[in-house]
Amino acid sequence: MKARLRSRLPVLAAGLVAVAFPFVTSPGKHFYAVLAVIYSLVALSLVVLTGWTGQISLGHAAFLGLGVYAGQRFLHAGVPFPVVLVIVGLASAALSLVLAVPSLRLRGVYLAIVTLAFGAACERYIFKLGFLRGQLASTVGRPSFFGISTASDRNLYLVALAVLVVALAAVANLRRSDLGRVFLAVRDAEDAATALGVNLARSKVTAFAISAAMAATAGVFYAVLFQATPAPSQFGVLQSLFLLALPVVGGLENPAGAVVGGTLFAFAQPVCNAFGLRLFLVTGLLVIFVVLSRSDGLTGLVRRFVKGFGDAVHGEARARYGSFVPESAAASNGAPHPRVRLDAPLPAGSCLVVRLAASSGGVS
Amino acid sequence: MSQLLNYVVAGLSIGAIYALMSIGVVVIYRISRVVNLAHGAMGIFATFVFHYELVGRLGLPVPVAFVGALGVGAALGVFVERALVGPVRRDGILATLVMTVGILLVLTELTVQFWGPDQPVIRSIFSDRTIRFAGTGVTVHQLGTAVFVAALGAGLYVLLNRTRYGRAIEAIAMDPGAARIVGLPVRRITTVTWAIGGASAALAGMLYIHLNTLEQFSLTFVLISSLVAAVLGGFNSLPLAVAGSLAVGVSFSLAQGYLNDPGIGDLIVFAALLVVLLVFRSGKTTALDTVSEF
Repeated sequence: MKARLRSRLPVLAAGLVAVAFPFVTSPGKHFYAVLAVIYSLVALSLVVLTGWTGQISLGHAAFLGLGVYAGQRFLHAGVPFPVVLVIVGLASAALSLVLAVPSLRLRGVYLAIVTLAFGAACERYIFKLGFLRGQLASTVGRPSFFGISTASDRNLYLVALAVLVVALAAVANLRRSDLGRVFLAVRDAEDAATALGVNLARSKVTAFAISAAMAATAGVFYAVLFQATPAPSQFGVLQSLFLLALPVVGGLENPAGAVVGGTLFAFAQPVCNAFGLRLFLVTGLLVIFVVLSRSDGLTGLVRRFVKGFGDAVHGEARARYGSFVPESAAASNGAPHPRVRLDAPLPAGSCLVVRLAASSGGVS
Repeated sequence: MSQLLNYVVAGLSIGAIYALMSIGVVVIYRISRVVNLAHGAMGIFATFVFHYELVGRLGLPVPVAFVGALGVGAALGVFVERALVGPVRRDGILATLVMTVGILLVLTELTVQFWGPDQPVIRSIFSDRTIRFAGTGVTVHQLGTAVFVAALGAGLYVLLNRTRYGRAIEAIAMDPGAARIVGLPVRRITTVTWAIGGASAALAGMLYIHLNTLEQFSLTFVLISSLVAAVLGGFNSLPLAVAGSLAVGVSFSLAQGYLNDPGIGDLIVFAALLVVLLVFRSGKTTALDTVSEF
């Protein structure tokens, strides 16, 4: 119970900071806080799809864009905000079939290229269709959410944060469910998973649907935040690459990584502007650094450091974890190291009782 | 009739650029088993150096600057291989793809950081004089592009498929360790091949941008079309890549001409990609994907 409480402590602290944030900062920062929540949602959708299921999406901005444009249409028609979130999420999940069906036949780089072309087609053609956006931007109002007015950025932030918390809880539970384990099996060994009776088609389609629905939900908040429908190039190929960078830099296998990455890049924009740097330049450099570091983003780096520190204290051999670790290196990590400590020399003929305690969040 | 011919010629002209790009992508894939998403960005970066530094600041004559820019592209290719892609090559497809995405972002944004967001028209080593025939016409620049494609494609085809060097590339891609044991200079061959790939990116950049304005991201859209053609040959076949590029270019041009909708081409590329992958190449997509240990 105590270990469980200790592992929850960072989550609780982060939650407290997130809720307290708009009450202790100036209203100017609330805009970036909403953006951080939106980015975190998109990054979370990529954690499920790319980090867990291993399907690389280079066209995810298309789902964000769909959320923006479709959300604007429904909000204009007077549909209540929560209902819009559900409708747009379902519509986006349906659209994700365009990618999910090819993913049943394609792997790795071929699927990545399909998603890239999908993103390009959405940016240059589909989003310019009259019934989605058309040529002219339209305004989006700030609807109320279950009676809560979102006219101020602070209220919008709290509403978005509530949606993010629900999504985080759902995703964390998903990871512990059968389906979550199936996702990892699909990523690590498709053939082996099939041999064990995993329904590959169903799990891939589900992963795409969950991911697309989350990204589109984020898109609705994007439209409400900017109170307008930005140009399709805002949801194009370059933006897709940026969105993939969020969880990669934060940590692709970990919901916490999505939040870290999303928050980091939302607040990086004003910082980059202050230094006269381009945000995407910094993004690219961070991505290169993370891939070269071979850790699972910044959260993976921290976890590796903490683990390495603990191992050094306990005199354990070095172990490597994360999405970018080659199989051969991960295999040499071996079984979890049991720690046996004897308080006194064993009398001859005595029976040794070993109690194994699984360390929290270590080995999956 | 003459309008059809016009569209076909325009399509072949853009298809030639696609072909240049896909040749570079295929060459790099042959040696490293990495699909270089940063190929367009590398070409654009070299083109910026050509326009702003070599021609603009140093005032070199255009042909000299042209060769210089090819050198810049080659150097860029070598740097990317040595410092960035090479070290993570064995970490799997996610690592290499994300790495090339990072390089794409950095190179694209560096051009804006260094040279600003202007989109000037750049110079070409060929003149823009139009040669007229049969009711249509091509510029010398377009003909020159076609000659480059033919020469580079044929030269690399011979190099890759008919020489010991090409067999060495295949050996290195399949098993670098074994290639080294039989005495192949693995590092040098890898470096030279990436240099060829980088130079071809620079070539495609300069030839493409002359027909358009110098937009930072335009060549990456070209790359997406080129990837369709490269996929047709499984990233392995140069003739299929070139033929596919020309086909994509012509269908692009016909669609835009007759449907009068500038964005429809990208939809066609996406549809063509699905058809190529799911119909023509079903079951063969993993044949070349093995990468062994160093």
